[in-house]
Amino acid sequence: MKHNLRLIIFVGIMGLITSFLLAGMDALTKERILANQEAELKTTIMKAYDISYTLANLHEVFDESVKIMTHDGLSFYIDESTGYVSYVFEGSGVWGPIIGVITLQSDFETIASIVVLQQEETPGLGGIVAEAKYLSNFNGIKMVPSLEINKDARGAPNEVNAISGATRTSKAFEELLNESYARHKAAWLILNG
Amino acid sequence: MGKGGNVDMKWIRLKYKKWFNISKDGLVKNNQIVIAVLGICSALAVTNRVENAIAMGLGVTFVVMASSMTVSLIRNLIPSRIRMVTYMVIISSLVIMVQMFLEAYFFDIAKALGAYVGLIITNCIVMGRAEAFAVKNPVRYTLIDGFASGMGYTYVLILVALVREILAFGTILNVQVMPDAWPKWVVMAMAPGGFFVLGVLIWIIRELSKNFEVEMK
Amino acid sequence: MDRIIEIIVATILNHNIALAYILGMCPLIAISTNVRNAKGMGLAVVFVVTLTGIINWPIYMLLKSTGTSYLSLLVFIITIAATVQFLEMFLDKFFPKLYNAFGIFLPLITVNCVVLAVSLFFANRNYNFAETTAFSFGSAVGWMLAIILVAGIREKMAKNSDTPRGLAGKGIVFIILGILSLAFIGFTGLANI
Repeated sequence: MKHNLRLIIFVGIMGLITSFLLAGMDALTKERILANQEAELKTTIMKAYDISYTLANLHEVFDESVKIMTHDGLSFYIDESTGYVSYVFEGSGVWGPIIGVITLQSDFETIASIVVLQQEETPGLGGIVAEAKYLSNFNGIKMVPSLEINKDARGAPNEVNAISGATRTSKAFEELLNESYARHKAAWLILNG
Repeated sequence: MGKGGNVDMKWIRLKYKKWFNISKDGLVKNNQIVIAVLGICSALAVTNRVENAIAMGLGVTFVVMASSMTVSLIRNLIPSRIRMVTYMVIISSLVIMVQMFLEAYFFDIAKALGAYVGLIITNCIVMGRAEAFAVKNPVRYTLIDGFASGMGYTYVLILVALVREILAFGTILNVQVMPDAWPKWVVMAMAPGGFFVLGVLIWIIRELSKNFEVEMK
Repeated sequence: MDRIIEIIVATILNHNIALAYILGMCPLIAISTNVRNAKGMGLAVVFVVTLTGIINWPIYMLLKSTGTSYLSLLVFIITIAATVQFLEMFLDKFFPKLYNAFGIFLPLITVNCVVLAVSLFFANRNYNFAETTAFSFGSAVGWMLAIILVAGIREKMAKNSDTPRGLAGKGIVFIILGILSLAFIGFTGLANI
C-alpha cells in the first residue's frame, strides 16, 4: 500500500510539473504563434492577389487592399479589383488536419489557386498535397457540381489527378475541399443576397 | 611491430576507452534499426525521400540526447514500476515544448517538421535508449550513447531513402538524377517498398558483419 | 449503424493500422514468433485499445471545452498507463487465470504506439462517441489480424523454409510484412473512415 502510494505521488508530481511546464510554454508562446499564423494568412492572401507588401507594412497593406466580409463565423477575403474571393478551408487529412487558403474567381466556382498552410501527411507521399507543383493542377478547375480528385483524371473541368501512392490523402483532401466549399457557398449566397 | 608500433598502441588504448565503445555500439554493433530492430515505424514512413530521412534523423538524435539526459539526471528518483510511463511523459513534454518554441520563433522550420513530431514521440529508439542506458548511466556517457544511437539510426535511414527515392521518383534530394525515361516505381515510396528495402538492407548488413540472430525453432 | 460497420470494415482492411499506417511495428515484429503469442498479444491490444478509446473520448471533449487541448497528448499517455495498471490489478484479483495467460503482454501494451495513435486519430478527426468506439475496436482488430498473419507465416517458415541466415529471426519479418502490405493495398477504396 505504501509502495502504491509512492507511485501515485510520483505520477502526480510528474504530471503537475510537466503540465506546469507545458502551460507555461503555451502562455509564453501563444501570442507569437497566433501573430505568426495571422501574418501567414494575410501574406498568403496578398500573394494570391499579387499585392506587394513588406514585412513592416503587411498589416496596413492588407487592411487597405483586401475587403473582408463575414457571415456566421465564416470569413471571405475579397480583392476588389478582380472580384476574386478567398476563404480558409480546414478538415481532417489522414494523419492530422489540413488547413489552407482557396481563392476562387468572381463566379465563385472556378479555382484561381490553392495554398496549403498546415498538414501532417506522410512526408514525400501524402505530403505532396502541400506542394505548389501539385496544387497548380487545381488552377482553373471548377468546384461544381463537386470537385473530384481521381486516379486517372480524364480532363473533366471539375477533375484533378490524385497523388499516385497517396490515395487516402487525396480522398481526404477532396472531401474536405467539397465540404468547406458547400458551407462557404451557402454563406456567400446569403451575403450577396 | 617496428614502424607500426606507435599506431598499434594508440589503437589498443582507444579500444578500451569507454566513449569509443559506446559510440561503436550505437553506430554499428547495436545499431538500433539493423540489429536491435527498433524505431521501425518511422524508418519506414520517412525514408521515401532523402531530405525527410535527414530531417527525421537529426530530430530523433536531438530528442534522444535531450530526453536521455533528463532521464539520466533523475534516474535515482524514478520508481521502477512506472519507469516506462515516466519516459513517455518526459519525451512527449520535451517534444511539445520544442515544437511550441519553434512555432513561435522559427515558424518556417516548425511547419516543415510538423508531420514528424508524432513520429518522434512514439519512436521506440527514444524510449529504448532511456530504458537500456540512460536510467543506469551518468549523464556524460548517456549523451555519447544518445548521439551515437541517433547517428546510427540516421545513416541507415539515409541509405534506405537513397534507394527508395531513386526507384520511386528518380531523384536524390529532389534533384533529378535519372533520365526522364526512368519508370517511376511508385510502390517503392509506399509501405511495401519500405519493408522490402529495409529487409534487404538488414540482410546485407548482417551478412557483412556476420551478426546473425539465432534461428527461432 | 451503417457508419459503424463501415468504420470497422475500413480499419480492418484498407485502413489497417499495421499494414497501411505502419504503426505498432516494434511489438509486432517482436511477438510474432508463433501464433499462440500473437493471439495473446492481439487480444490484449484489442482489450486495451478499445477501453482506452472509450475512456479518452470524454476526457478529450473536456480538454477541448476548456481550451487546453495542447495537454491532450500528455493526458492520453497518463490515462493509458493508468488503464493498463488498473486492468492488471483487476485481472490479477478477479480473473487470475486470465491474468497469467496475458503474462508479459499487458504491461508491454503501454508502449505500443498503436494505443496512443488511435487516441490521437479520433481526436484529430472529431469522431463522436460511437465512431470512436468502433474505430478503436476495429483498428485493434486490424492490428491483431496483421500480427496473427505474420506469426502464422513465420511458424511455417521456421519449420519448412531455408531462410538465409542474414534474414533469420527479425529480418525475414520485413519481407513478410512487405508482401502482406502489398496484398492489402488491394482493398483500397473499400470503405471510408
